[in-house]
Amino acid sequence: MKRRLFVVLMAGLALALALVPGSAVAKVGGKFAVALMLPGSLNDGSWNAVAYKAGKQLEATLGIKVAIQEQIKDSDAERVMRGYAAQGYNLIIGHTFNWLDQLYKVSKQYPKTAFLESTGYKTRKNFGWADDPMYEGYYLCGIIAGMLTKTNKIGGVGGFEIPTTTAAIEAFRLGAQSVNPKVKLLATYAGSWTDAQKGREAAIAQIEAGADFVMGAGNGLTIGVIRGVAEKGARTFGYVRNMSNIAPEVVLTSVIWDLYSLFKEVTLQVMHGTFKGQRFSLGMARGGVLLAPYGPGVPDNVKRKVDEVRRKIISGEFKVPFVSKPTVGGKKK
Amino acid sequence: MSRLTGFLAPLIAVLAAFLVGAILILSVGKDPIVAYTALFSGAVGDVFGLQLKFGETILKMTPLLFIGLGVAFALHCRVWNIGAEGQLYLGALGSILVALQWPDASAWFVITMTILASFLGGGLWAAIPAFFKARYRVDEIISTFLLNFVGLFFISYLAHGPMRDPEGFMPQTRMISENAELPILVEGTRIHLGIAVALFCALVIYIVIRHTTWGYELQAVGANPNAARYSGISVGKNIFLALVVSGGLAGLAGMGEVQGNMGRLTDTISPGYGFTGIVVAILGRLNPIGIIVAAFFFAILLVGGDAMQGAAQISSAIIEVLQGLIVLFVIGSEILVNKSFRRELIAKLRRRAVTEEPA
Repeated sequence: MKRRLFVVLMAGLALALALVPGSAVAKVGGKFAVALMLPGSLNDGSWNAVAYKAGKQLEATLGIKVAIQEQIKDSDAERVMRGYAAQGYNLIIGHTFNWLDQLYKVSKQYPKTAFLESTGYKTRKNFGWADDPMYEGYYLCGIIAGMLTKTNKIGGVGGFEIPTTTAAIEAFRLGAQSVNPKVKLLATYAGSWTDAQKGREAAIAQIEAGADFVMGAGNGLTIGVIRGVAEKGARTFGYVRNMSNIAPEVVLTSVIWDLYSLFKEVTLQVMHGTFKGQRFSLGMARGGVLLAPYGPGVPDNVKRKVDEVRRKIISGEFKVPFVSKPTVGGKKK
Repeated sequence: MSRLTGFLAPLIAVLAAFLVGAILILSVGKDPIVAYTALFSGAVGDVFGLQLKFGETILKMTPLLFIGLGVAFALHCRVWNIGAEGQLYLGALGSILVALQWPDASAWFVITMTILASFLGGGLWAAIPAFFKARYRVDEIISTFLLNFVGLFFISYLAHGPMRDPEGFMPQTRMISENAELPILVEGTRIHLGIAVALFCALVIYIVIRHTTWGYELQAVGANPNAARYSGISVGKNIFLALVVSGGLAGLAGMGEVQGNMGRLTDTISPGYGFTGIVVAILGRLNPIGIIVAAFFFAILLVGGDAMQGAAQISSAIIEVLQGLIVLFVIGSEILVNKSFRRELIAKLRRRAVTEEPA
């Protein structure tokens, strides 16, 4: 008798839950809507934070609905993007390289929805990706490092050897070697985007091996790199946003990725029906990448050289090489 | 302990957790009613067809059910399997190795082989701490827990290096071919064979525990190992088997995630199922039916969390706090439901009352 009561109660509970009306969940209605999916915390101070700000700005300036979700794990990504697609969102942005498979799969099943990935390498009619143009900025940082280094050794700490990160570190090397052919690069791929402790340790290891300029490419990672650099008195650069507030004496400049312009451009294309799945390159020439104001100790001749090369990049006279396979560090193939 | 108390205790624990959660939500200035409605409707509600969200909840429930069953099975023998997370990954490894080996074989063959391989993977990983517990009485809580890290780092190493997809750049293996994908059970959803296998496992475990000699032996060893030994039951063997089966079930969870969700082996296929599964087992009071309900409930929490984030503008951290509160309250309810503890508590209170009476 008690057991039957138990089963009936459980069944009743399950049924009750199933009948809960869905009115509380946000529906899109007729308004144009963009969904921005972030892999990490919107407070991380770089990769996700900048995207979050860009999303909020998009909402304010274009008057559209922008849904932002943070901390989306890889195993949940497909579910979340399906949810948005099924609700009728017009554009879904996956702000990480990790969700290529999922975006590729889901974009096939929702051909009327536009999908964008921040960095990627596959496209479909309704699925495009935006390349991370920061490598152009890191070329300029390399020039600064190359001109100011006293040890002729520079370092790069990246998260994973995916093309965009490798390109940033290699561009750093190329920029330095363009003004100082004797410069050697030390590179470490730490295996995490967010582990600040790893970043700090990698930076310290490189500094102890002789590097006096170390750049970081990874959100939490770069913050750790900056801390390590500050401890050891070397110099560094910020990632995605102006990071000089973390350690003003050692951050000479930061490579800023203007995600807002990127998101706005893609959103407008979707709104006007001209969106095509392609590689979006909003690089330095289109204002997608900028350098933050200089920190202390950057002499005028260095600034002039940077301006000179920057002008050449913007005018198209000079194209920063995109090196997708690491020449230093990383796995031996 | 009466059956009804057994059912009420976890229910009250959950309600208490939600109450405290509501207070927390109020304290950040948001509306708990809106939040909780979004939570449940986001998981099982009727928003865009009952199928989609409900399907995702079932999808999420599958690994939780496998692991809950596994942890509960071992607990019948008083063996604590805290290593389900690592066993899941080793099971996933078994699954991907087999799947990548036979990209052109028939689906039935491959999937049968992957089920075996993943059970074996998880089971073997659990066999290590199981052996040491059975033979040398090494505390399994520590050994299984530490092996989680070894397992995860091993998988991470494989995904970054020897097994990395040559076409891609991320630390993940190649994608499995279509024949290895777990067939979808309900058209239009992502509900796959995994849940059927899990429910089948629940049935098997129910029968084993209730109606077989082995099940009786397991529980005897769990209740009183010395008495069991005197009646001729092999304590070591039962402890060993309990943990190995538990690991095998966790391995099946890994198979479900590789072949039903991600399509590859990466080092992020599990957002902590190995640990959430332990709470599911306890919440379900080690009873297979209870575990099914508990797994379903937790899946609702996890899936509905997204909707709650969006609809009520609440940080995703609230879901994690809710989970923690549920754990605290369930363990607390265990204490109150335990008859001898209750008796002592009442006796103590009575004694206090007697001594405080005016002389």
